[in-house]
Amino acid sequence: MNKIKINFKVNNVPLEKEINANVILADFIRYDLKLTGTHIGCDTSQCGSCIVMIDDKCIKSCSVLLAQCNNKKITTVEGIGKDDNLHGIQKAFKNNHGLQCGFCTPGILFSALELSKDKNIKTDFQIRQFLDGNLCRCTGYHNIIKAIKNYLKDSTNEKV
Amino acid sequence: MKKFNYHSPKSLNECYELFKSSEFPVYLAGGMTLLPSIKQGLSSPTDLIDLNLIDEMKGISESENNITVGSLTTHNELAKSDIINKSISGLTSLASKIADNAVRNRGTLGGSVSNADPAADYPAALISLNSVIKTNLREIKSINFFLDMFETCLEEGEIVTQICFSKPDFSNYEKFASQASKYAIVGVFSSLRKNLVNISVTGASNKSFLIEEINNLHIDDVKKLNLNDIDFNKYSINNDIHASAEYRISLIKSLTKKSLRNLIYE
Repeated sequence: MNKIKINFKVNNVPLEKEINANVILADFIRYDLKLTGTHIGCDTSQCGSCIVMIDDKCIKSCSVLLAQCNNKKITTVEGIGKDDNLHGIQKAFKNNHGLQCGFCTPGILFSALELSKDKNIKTDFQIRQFLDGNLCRCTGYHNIIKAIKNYLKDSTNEKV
Repeated sequence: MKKFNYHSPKSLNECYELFKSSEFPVYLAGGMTLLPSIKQGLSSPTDLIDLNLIDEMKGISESENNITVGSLTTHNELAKSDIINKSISGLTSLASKIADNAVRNRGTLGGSVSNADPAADYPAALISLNSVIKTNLREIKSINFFLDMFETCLEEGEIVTQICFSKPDFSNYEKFASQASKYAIVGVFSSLRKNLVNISVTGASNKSFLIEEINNLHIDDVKKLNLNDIDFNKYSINNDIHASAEYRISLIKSLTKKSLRNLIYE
């Protein structure tokens, strides 16, 4: 197995690494960078718990190789808000009881952020359709939809 | 995770040479099927050759009669392309119904077509629109491209670089998806060109097929056609845990009717 040299940014921090070819992005984020906000649920690119952004687009990090991230910008949930300064979407989830156990939440936050850039998405049905790749086993989705709708209403187009 | 080498060559030629000199190589485009397959042990390549630095496989361009789409175009790029939506709205709707948003951000047209999953969506569009698949070696008509389940006429190491769609007058895609995987249990793509209709079906058999009875049939004759007169059993309709053959045939008929209604009254 060959080693690969890559340059990339995680939450705006530039990194240069020599890595093994077979490292999965989700594993690297959790076990090497210790950014454990990104969760591994199904590990088969269905549940959406591992969603992070690469170049501002949602991807399922359990099905992406770190080797594919050369010159890319990765954003994890640790990069969108801080404990004392939550991002608007995090505030909306908090205020609307949009999470219970919280396992799926980081992935859903990213889907919500990408969704918020599409000005055509307004209705509950459209939001539910967009969240197709995110599974939540606690909430029944109602409060997640409520939180996202509130964020869309209140958001002053905060940047990720 | 299984061990393998990873390469990211900068030219098509380099990709092809690497492929020929490796033991069990495989090309990597979006990786949305390949990487889960490797993780599950369904595929054990020695070398992954990433195609993403090859510029000639990117972009969407338009001429008077055709739209050419680079094979690295993601499902979301395709679904959001104004050029495609203006001329082949059925293809826009098809791309927007593949899997989910995060997968559409990553999965590619060329990857899906080369993988030839019998339940994938694109093959239906390619066949109905009579598209041409361009590779690093030649041009292949879509009707000759798909041979069987996960089997195409691509030679060892051959790379799909572009797909050329000739513009129809109208197109439409109707899909009944598996709720778990979003793959098509049945998908029906219909196209209309100079009053002639073509309809293809995906998800229902070992490969996508054209409905022979509606192969370039005039739209007035299509309106008179009774779908119950067609014997769909000759297409070896799948009978599996997701749907019985009987149910799939019923879906083919109802989705074809729906698709034709949209085509006729659009």
